[in-house]
Amino acid sequence: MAKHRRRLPLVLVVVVVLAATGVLTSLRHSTNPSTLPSGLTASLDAESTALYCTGLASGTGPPGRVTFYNTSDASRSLSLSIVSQVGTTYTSTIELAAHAAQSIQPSVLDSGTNFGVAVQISGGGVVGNETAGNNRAEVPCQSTGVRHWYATGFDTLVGSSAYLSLYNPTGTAAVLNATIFTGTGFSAPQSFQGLSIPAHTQTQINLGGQVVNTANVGVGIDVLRGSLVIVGVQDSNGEVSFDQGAVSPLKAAWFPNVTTVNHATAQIRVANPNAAPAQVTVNVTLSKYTVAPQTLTVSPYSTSLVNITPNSAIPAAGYASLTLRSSEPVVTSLATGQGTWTALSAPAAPGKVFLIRDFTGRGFDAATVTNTSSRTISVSITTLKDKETKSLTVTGEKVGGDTTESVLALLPASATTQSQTFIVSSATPSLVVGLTLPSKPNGVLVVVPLNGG
Amino acid sequence: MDSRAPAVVAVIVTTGSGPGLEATAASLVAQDYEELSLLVVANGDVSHVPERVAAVAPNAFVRVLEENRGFGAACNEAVLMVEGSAFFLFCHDDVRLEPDAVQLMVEAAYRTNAGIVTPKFVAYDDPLVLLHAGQTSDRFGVVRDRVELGEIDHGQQDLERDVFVAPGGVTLVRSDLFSTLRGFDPLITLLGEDLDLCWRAQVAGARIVVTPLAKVAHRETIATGERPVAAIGTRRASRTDLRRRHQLLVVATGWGRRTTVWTLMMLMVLDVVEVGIALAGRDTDRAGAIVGSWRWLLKQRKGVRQRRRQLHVLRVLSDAELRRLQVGGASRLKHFFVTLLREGYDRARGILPPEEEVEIFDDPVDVGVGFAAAFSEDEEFDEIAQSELLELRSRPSRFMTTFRSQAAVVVVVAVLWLIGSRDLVATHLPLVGRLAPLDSWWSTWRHYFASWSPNGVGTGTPGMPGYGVLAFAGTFVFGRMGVLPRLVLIFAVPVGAVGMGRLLKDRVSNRARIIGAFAYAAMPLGFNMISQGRVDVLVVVAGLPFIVRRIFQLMDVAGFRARPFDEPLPFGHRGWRTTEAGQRMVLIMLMALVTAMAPATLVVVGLVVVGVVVARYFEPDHDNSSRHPGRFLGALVVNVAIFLLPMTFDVFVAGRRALEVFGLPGGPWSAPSFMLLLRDVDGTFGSSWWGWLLPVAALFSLVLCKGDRRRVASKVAVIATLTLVLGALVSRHWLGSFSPDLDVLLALYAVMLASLIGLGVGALEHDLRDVGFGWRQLTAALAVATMALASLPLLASFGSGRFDLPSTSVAESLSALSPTTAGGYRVLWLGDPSVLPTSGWAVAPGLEAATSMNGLPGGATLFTPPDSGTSDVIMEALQSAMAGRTVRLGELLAPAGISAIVVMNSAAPQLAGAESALLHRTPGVLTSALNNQSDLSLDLQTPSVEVYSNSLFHGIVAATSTGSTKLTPIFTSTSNTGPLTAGSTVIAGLAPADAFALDVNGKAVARTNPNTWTPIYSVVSSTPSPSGAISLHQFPLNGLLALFTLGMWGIVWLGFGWIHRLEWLFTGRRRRVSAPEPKGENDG
Repeated sequence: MAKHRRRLPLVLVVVVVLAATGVLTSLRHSTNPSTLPSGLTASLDAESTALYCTGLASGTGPPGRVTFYNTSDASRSLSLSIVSQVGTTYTSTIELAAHAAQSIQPSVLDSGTNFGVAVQISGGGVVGNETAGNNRAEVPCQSTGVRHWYATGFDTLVGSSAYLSLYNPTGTAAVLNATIFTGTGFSAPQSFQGLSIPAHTQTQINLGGQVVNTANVGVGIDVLRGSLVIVGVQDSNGEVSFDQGAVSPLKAAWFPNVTTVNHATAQIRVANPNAAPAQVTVNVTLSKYTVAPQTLTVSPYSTSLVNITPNSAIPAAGYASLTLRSSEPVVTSLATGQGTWTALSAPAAPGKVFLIRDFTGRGFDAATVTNTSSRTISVSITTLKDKETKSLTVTGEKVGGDTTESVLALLPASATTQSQTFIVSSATPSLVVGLTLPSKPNGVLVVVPLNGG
Repeated sequence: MDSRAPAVVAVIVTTGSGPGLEATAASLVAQDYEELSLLVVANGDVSHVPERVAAVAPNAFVRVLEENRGFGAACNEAVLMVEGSAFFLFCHDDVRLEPDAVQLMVEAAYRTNAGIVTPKFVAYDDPLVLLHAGQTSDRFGVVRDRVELGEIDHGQQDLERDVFVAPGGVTLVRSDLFSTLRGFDPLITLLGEDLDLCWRAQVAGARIVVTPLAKVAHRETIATGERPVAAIGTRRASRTDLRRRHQLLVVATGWGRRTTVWTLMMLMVLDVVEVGIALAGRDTDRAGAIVGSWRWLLKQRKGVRQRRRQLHVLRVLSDAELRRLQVGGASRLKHFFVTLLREGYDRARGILPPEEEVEIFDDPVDVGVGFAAAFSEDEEFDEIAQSELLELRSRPSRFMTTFRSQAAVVVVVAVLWLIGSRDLVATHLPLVGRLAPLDSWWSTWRHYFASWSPNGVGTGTPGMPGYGVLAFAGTFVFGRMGVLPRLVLIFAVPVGAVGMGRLLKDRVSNRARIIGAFAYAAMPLGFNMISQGRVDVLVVVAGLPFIVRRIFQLMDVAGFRARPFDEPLPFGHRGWRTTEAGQRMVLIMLMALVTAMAPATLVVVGLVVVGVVVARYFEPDHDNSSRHPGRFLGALVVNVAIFLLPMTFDVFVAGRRALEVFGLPGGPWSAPSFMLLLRDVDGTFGSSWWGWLLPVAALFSLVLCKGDRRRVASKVAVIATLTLVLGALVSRHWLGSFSPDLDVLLALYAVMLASLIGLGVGALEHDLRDVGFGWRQLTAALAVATMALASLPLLASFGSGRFDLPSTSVAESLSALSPTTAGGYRVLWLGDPSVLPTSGWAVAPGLEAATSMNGLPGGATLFTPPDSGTSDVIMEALQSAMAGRTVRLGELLAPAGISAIVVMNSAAPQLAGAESALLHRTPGVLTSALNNQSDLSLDLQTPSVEVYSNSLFHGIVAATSTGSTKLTPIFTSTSNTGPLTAGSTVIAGLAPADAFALDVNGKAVARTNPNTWTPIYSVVSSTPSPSGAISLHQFPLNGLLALFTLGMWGIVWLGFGWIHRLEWLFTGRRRRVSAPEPKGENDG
């Protein structure tokens, strides 16, 4: 009889199915994708791309210049637009052959003292790099503006000047608020609030005008409307350096090549833009030495630093690889120098693809790849030669977890980094490339590699 | 050897005035049982008793007790005076025995080996009315009678049987059993002795039997309050106090250890609930009685332990065996809810007196006849009325059971609804959801027949059937198209509620139907759809209950096909509509109408059919003739596709976008959580805690239903589950491009929830009666409470007068859409599909793209075919920008004449304290991409909307001037006609390119580049004062297709008997007078 037939408990099934669905849909949270894809490979098939460079000046010393390099196998047409801080503009078109490079010096083409450069490219694969200070400072051009920007480590001490170079690449007037952090706290200068940068214009913010005679100044920029390309420029007793900055504070940072040699100075400068103190730990990996972690507490809304060189706990033994961890998201930079000057460089952000090119013609004192993950990854290196197609591809080189390897060590024995262009890539975005230019003492000129913009 | 009958000693306990003492004694004297002795115990100051007894029973012994010790103690005292008797017959002093009563009871005792025998009790004044035929009890000691109140004695109870309680009045007890049990318990001075004695007797293994042939008339002076008396030890305790404490004593001592603990725990919970209810109703006496009973029990703990020890020695039956002799459930709780449902709260908790009963609460205690005052006699307080049928018959239920009350409730709710929608009648409707202003009646018909529509960059696909439905509906409002959305906003939910009532018809009572309908109206979805202006979903809300009912009917879901369909008739014949084919055609036409407005309706129909099939695996129907559900569903879909031929054509040519006809994927990051889906919420209404009430009530309903109701409920539950699962997957975008409109799915879920609630009410009315206490009663209690609570937010929603429909919209607030240059232009609208005020195509999950020409969206782009065709150029450009592959989006969009890009995050602006709207953010990468474009500038940025202007805009129709490649707009936004420049090149952003032609001075100009999607024309430089006009040149295939479809609708409609009726028109003969048209239950 039907009524005696044993049936599956419907209510139980319904509840189980609903619960399973609820758990399943709750376990995986959907996030709103907010970042544009970036990287050299992504831009190769682009309909059009753009590069924006700022921080170029015509001041003391050799003026800054921009070098464009076409990584693609086809020629590219570049629409160049230079604008100075006084509003004068220069436009031109450049045809860039495959694997060709071309430099421009804005101070020659346009009047003014500092410049913003915008290049619109039909297609993708073109990268740009700024050099200044007698080829001792480098910073990559950007392919997009940002809405948030952070940097720290600027000095406004006597003999030094620090300013932010801002270029508005869009047709929208940008509006920003700037906050300044120092060792004694933070300030939001009235003149830096609601600051409007008209469309396609270049301007500068002089930090020394608001924070006088202060070391280790941090900056946070919040672009309320539109977007901006920003570069921090530090002039330390005549030594110019660029700080690319970061789009957000982070809890981890990597500095692959930090010098520990005698007569050099190296500091990790930290700004804490949070309301809570940040407990910072810097782990130092230095050849065969075991170095105790360096710790630091950074008060809310203030800056502080860790001395790496000289440091009695860290032997002078060449390049150290530093990993910084913090209890709160912080802004970091590396300040290296000698005697009376320091040069700033931003930490390298982990990524999948990097371009290593000797834009200065001086070669590199150190070029390393660091695996920031705990697992071994496979790294591919492609060598590009000007006016030729790819000549060498090295694939499958293993880099262990949390280790740093020299790029040359991954290449055939005869390879050099001088006048060469390499594309270093991995399948996972856990790669960091560290570059230092030749200097005396060694390792005090740190540059940031191109990551494709 | 003489054979003598066993000796029986009748003990009459009398107290006070003893109004029936003489009659009682006389009836015992008149017994035909020869070995009957009579002992009268005068309890207290009753000096008149010997004389009165002597007058009617001179041989009787009279024992006078100096003080009133209560009935039990008096009996125990009497027993001490007697030796050698086989039976004791304990009698009240207000009974009258039939002459053969003792004889029959003794015979029954021997025949059945019973320890206790009870007679049938009838009313003292009217022996035709039954009082008791034995009683039973639940595990909590609550006594239930076996007869209905006022039941007439037709001999229907004259069957000798075992009972659990022998009610006081006249009780025959075997003397050895009485001795073994040590008589009545001295702790129980009065009220409850009968239950206690019988309980202990059964624990000791004795049977209790009712012998209905022995008839006793009982005056029940205690029940009528005729004799106010008091006993020693009762102090100021009311009868209620005594009853509760003695009842508790019996429960605390009558079970084994473990059962006692468990039972007392349950009883404590019930008592706490009852105390709460009593206190809520200021019934302090009741609350005091309950609390006092526990307090008294604690005081008597020594006596309790002693009783337990004594009973443990006697115990023969285990607890499980004893439970089998009792009734299941908690009688008091059941009675409460039955009364609550039937007669309201006040009556249930005992404030209002029953109409046909005498109020007997808290009467002074009748000491002398305590045995008569068993728990059973105060039914209003302590027991379930076992006479539901009798009560229904004799006492009209007060809670929505009469037509008048039901009509009154419906009218009140309807009036409240109209009050709640007062602002929707005439005030401005904002441009949100699908509230774009409709074109005129004639223009709407034209959209249906049009060869070209302006969606995207233009399309030549057939017009969507929704235009036909709107135009047809516009006929009934005399072309006042603006009235249609208002009608839908105001009446969709009420019409849906009516449909819900129809869906539940014949399955449940009218009261349950009304509650189900109200539950449907109270579902958050309807309110949220009104507040979001989702007219398309509201049409589904209105029509879906009707569709579901017909599907159930055609699939022969249990009880939905009240009778077989009529015999098959030829198409067009009168009565064809009531045949199965006709009913199926009605369903198809109904589905087609709703699907034309919201194509996802087809998906929910599929869910219903699949749900029924799946549910039959769990709960098979008795007999289901629908053996081919797949074929049935296929037939429905195919026929609907035929009725919506233009849309079907669009779907077939749409390729990978074909599935988008059912809906566009929303952003998973802004989709309602699963918890909100469970509450049927996609919006703000119902997102708080009370949103759980209706789903919880529905779940309770599911577990309460039995029988056919359960079969229907199982199907409904399975459909609801499938709907939720699909909705959850769709909202997370786990099904790819198959993203049926989530709100349409929620409409089906709402139908299912409301159906369950209606069925649940039916279960409360019928199914709950037949089961004992347990989870069902608790579930019922919660269900009733949740249903009652769920109606409260409904009232609050009436406050705004427009169900929170915004008074303004983001789109209307945009004043900068019109470019400064002349010429026609398009606006590109980007946003979540639930936010945009017009329909378009999907670019990515959470991002829909749609265009409007020359300003805000209007009636011409109300429906968008799934085939994007040439408009893919817009989607591809956007996808390039979002992938970081272009920084020249403005340049890519300029050929389409797009002057501005509007990115909407919400449909209405956020006005603090005045208006709130849900934020459905577009993918963040879109904003990043648009900010990166070198040729777009951000003109406006608010949390609700961002507007970008295209610096390379050159109008929909543009031309180059001689010697220049710069494009400038020509013509105007209202006309594609105007002066041209000789030697110029004209580019029109109109697709399909081959459908348009440029006439210069009346002569057609050939396209110069056939490989572009934009038609390009060159104006000959020698043309003097050229004047041009761009016009559409296309064979009206779409119009013919629409006409064919319309004709088909007409023919099928004629098939519902009109062909037969109009036969004379074609044959010239007079119509025959035919038999009355069959009209059955299945008639829609």
